[in-house]
Amino acid sequence: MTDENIKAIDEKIRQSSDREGKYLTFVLAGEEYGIGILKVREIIGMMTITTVPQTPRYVKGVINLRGKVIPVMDLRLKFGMEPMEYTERTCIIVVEITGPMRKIPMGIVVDSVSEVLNIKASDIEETPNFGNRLETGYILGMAKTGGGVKILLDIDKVLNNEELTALERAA
Amino acid sequence: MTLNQQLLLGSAASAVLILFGGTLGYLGTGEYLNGIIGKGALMTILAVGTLLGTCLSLGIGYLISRRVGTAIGGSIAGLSDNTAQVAAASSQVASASQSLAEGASVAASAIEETSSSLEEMSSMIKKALENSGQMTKSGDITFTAMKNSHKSLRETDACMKRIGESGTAAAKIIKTSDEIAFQINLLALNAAVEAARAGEAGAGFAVVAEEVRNLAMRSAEAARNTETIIGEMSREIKEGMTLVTKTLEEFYRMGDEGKKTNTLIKEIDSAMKEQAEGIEQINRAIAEMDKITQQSAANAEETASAAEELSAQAAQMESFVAELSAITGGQGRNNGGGQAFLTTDLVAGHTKEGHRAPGGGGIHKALAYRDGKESGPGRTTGRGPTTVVRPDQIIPLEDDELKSF
Repeated sequence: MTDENIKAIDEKIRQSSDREGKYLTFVLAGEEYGIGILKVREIIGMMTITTVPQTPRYVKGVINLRGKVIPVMDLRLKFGMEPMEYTERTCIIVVEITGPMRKIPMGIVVDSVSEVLNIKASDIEETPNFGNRLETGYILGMAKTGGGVKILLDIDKVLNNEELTALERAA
Repeated sequence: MTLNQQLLLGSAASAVLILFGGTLGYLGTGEYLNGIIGKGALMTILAVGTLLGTCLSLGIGYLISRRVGTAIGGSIAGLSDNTAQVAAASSQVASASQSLAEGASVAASAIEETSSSLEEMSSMIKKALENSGQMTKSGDITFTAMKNSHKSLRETDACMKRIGESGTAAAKIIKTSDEIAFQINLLALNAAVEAARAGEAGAGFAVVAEEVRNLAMRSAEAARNTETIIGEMSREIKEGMTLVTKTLEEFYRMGDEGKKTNTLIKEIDSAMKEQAEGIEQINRAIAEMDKITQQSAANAEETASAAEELSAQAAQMESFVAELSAITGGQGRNNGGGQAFLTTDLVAGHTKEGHRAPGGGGIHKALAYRDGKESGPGRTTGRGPTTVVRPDQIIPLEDDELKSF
């Protein structure tokens, strides 16, 4: 067994133990997703979003959260799903994205927020390989809960660096 | 002794009287004239004069008796004709009034039948009138009931509307509580996030947050259930309201039809009343007609008896005429045939000519008739029943007629 191998295994173990913990679950197009609770700053209901010109389609604009201007993006649009009319169940989850320079607070629009779940490491599976071409880096893993599967997102990787830089500039 | 014979006797008596007178004259004047002319010549003159006077008186007596007999015979013939005509007319009147009486009795029976039919009709109409009166009452009751139920329906409609409004208000409240539950849920989630950030210190707080969240979820579920129930209720209320509206529409139509029916029933009722009145009038008229018919039947019977009486009188008159005819001596011999002829004529309705026949030449016709020389059908003896026979028509008293003698 080479050092590299040992190093890889260690990484894996570390990762899996890292992944264990509390997740905030939400619904997007009928599917359950989870975000690590420490990434979440707060959850708010839908509020007035001010559109910002010359931004990507998934960026809905900015909101004024208690005096702080925070960019908001629609996760449906980001994931290439059908857009949906916002309802009273539509929520904005304010997360902290670790950008290249600093932590960026950011709102993500989801269909509805479900609950805070404690997920054990044993319930988390690796992301299955859909082929090299598909980018699955933003998925932390698949959490088995009950009869279903929840997709755990690595919110930092949902946006790539360029996008983050743009967002930092916008904010 | 016939009239002619009597007249002849009269003539003979006058001749004897003349002879007697001549003889007396001769005895008185003979002494005086004996001196003037010879006694033989005087005797001869006297004899011839006496003979001549006797012959003349006999001739004149014969002529007069013949003339008078002829005239009376004509009168008797006319009288006989008239009598026959009267008899025929009276028999006609009798038969006519007989048939009139029969007709009247037939009419009376027909009227009786009509009257009984009318009575039946009248009773039927009375019954129908009663029924229609009841129908009117029922119609009124139905109409009132319909009005009442219409009112109730309208109240039901209003009540349903109010219930619907209450449901809407309740739905609003439920929505509010659902929103509140949602907000509490969000707060609980935020609390959980904060607890997680606090690490070990926030563990207890996390449990509280979880409980709060559970309560919020239960509250939200209750709200949802209530909302479902209210939604169902309001849907049913809507259906009920639609039904009520439909029923109301039907009721309006029913009310209209009921009004029409009521009007029609009332019209029928009044028409029937009028009909009953009309029948009453007809009844009265029929009763009047019955009275009149009975009266006319009685009248006809009276007329018939009068005609019979007339007929009997005519027969009696005929016998008188026959007696008269016998007295004048065979002048009415041919009257039997003449009567028969006249009767035929009368029945055939050809009496008009006969009525106008008399005139200046009446005597010739009468004579011809008596003698039976010109008894052709065209030469009727022609005295109608109404002809008044004047003596101057039969006995020519004019000078020119007398001259011929």
